[in-house]
Amino acid sequence: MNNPELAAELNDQFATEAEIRSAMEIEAKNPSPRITAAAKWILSRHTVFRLQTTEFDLIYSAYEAILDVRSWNKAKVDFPNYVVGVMRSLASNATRKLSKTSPQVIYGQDERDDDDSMSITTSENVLTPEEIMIQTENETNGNKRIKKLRSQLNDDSIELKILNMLLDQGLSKGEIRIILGLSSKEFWAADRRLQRAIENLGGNE
Amino acid sequence: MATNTKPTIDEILLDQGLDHILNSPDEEFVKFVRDSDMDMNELINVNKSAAIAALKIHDNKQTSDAIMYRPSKILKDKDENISYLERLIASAKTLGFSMNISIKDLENLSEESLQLQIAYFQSFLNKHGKSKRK
Repeated sequence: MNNPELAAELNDQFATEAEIRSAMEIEAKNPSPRITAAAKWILSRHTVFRLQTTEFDLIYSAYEAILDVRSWNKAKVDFPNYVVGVMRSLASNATRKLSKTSPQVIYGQDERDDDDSMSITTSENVLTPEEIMIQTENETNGNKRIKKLRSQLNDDSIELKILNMLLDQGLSKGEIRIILGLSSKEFWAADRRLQRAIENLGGNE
Repeated sequence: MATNTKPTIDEILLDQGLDHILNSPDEEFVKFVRDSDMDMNELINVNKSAAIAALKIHDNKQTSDAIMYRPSKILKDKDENISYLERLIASAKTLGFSMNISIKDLENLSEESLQLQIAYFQSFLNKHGKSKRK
């Protein structure tokens, strides 16, 4: 097909209300623990918002939004990934509100360039001076924390190599695994140790 | 003009953690849960409760909407539907909304379109009537 936009549009496959309901009923009957773990992870990175809410509230709010807005593109993400994307979006929006900046949330999958991202956040937003200031401060804090994280990891550890490839080269986990020549088991074990180290750093937002 | 397109380090770290949680093999996920001092049963139960609660509230809301927007009486024919719709439009006008619909326009509508218009104005009054009356 010559027209990429048309091809992308044809590949979109938004779920019907019945399909969304069916996916939610599956979560009610055979719930995935990964969704709650993701809620905990998101709240651990949104420390101010975490003071005002719980994992239950975040998941419930995501389900409520999904039932109301119904923009799950089945062709792009599976249901748990979509739920987690909505939770991420809700938390970012709440954090922005708490920072007294203007919130802009879109429930959809078209906002980010990378198709395999589960993120459901903002599109291209024009920043206010206050938002630029906050973003700069966050960037500075983030750099300090990354420096601390790197100092905590062994120089020749697989975890540090993964972190550097993620941050400095922007490689995907699949690409990193191939470059490092790791088995799936070795890679995910190292990735778990890296996530544990990141978790111990705490959140910035 | 500054725009918000580049993910911050924190966003990258957040996404990487979520990627591990969602995509790691089950065996690794179990270890992740254990290492993070999470309780697998709690993780399952919280998601289950949230899904059940959201479905229940959504169902109740839909039932409530259906009762709210159903015609207040069974309308026998087109004339009664038009008459009922005229009353709804008049109420909207009384509340200060501008409506450019004439009776002639209503007479040209099909039975189905009339029902849709009735549902629309019922919803409209429900949404705007309360705030206008405050």
